[in-house]
Amino acid sequence: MNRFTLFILSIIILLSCRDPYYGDLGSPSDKIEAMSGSWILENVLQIDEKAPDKKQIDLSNFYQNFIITFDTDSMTFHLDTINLISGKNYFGNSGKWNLYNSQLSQYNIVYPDKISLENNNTVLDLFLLTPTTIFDNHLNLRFVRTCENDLAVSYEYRFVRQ
Amino acid sequence: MKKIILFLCFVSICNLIFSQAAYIQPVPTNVNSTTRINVDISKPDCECPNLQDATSDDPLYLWSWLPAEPIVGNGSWDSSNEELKMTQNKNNPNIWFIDVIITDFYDVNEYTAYQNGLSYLVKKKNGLDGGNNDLENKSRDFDITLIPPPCEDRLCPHPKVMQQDDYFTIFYNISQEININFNPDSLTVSNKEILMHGDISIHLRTNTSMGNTYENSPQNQMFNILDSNFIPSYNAEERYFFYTFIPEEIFDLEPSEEIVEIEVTFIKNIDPTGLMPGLWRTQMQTFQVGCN
Repeated sequence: MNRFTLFILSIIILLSCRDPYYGDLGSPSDKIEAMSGSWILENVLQIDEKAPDKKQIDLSNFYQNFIITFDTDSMTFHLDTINLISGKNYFGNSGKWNLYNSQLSQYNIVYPDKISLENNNTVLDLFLLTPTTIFDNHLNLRFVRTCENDLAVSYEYRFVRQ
Repeated sequence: MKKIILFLCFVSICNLIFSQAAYIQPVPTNVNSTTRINVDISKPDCECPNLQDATSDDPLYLWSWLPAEPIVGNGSWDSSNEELKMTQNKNNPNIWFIDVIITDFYDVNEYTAYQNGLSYLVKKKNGLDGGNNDLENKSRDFDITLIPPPCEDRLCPHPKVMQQDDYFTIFYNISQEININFNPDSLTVSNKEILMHGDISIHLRTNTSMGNTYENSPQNQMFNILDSNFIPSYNAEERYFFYTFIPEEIFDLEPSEEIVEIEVTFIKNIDPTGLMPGLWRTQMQTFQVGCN
């Protein structure tokens, strides 16, 4: 009886063996395409990088109708200032943009960690706080200001896709 | 039902807080003021069976390594430094404490103190060997996060280092105001109404790289400004005023002119004609602008 049970168990175990499933990760999503379109600013935080607790202040009330548009054909951006009521614009009204990988020190559209905005020969680098894909409706950017190469203050912008 | 759930949550949180063996007072903690470091040896998470018989004749000692080793030194494991001897709480003999000013005690600056937090254990004079708490005369290691208070000075700037095109917020902790005509406690004692939203304005004066001085309005005319551009918001619950602005947008600067410093004064919205200055304005305080 025990031998019969062992035999049945062996058959069940053997039948459960299968070839491993090899999934396909697919190609990395197109980060340039993910940026395409208009984004409205939902939330702005100012972080005191010198404060022991990195204290944050919400500046969202100062920003209304702050909309930035990224064009993927011309690789240009512009800020819709027609309805802009207030809010300091550190980005510039229009210019060129590109994605950048600070570790590879080159423009990189596959694994970017920064977006570079060029306006009147001035380049502003913003950190991408989270990678944005075409499925994401949020774009989170951080603008860092330094004093003598030391972090002083940073601004975190949370945009929503329009 | 909602109230019952909230009450149970409150009880659970209290239970969690007060069931910890190691804690500090006060929280939030100003690392430049006296802080009490406590250990309750009766709590299970003390993990200190060999400390249960501690008395004033056989006391406990602090042994700490963060935010740094105490400036006086921990001593050696078999002979703790006498300066780190703790005091037994008279009301509850299970609680041992030591009072320290964290920045002085560890010889660290504020930033390091808050970044590193406190790490310590308590032990007897001779910690003994053995490798575990059943054999050694010590507690387990405790790690405490230091939470800084929001604003303990009269005026707190945010950010601490800013450029003239940054957003700049001044927190005015009116409870710390030395002018008795502004301080809410002094006003209450004098049977006067405390200052609320709309009662004061902020006066801003700047000195620039070109040697110019600008101000948002003459101080004795501020009460005439009818719009709310210079009226700070008031947080009634925590009793502080706050005002946010971008320095370069307040003043009419020349194209290459840079703001060096900003002087801040708070003004009562009353006609100051014939009044002594202390009745209608506070002391001025200066904030540097730029990387210096």
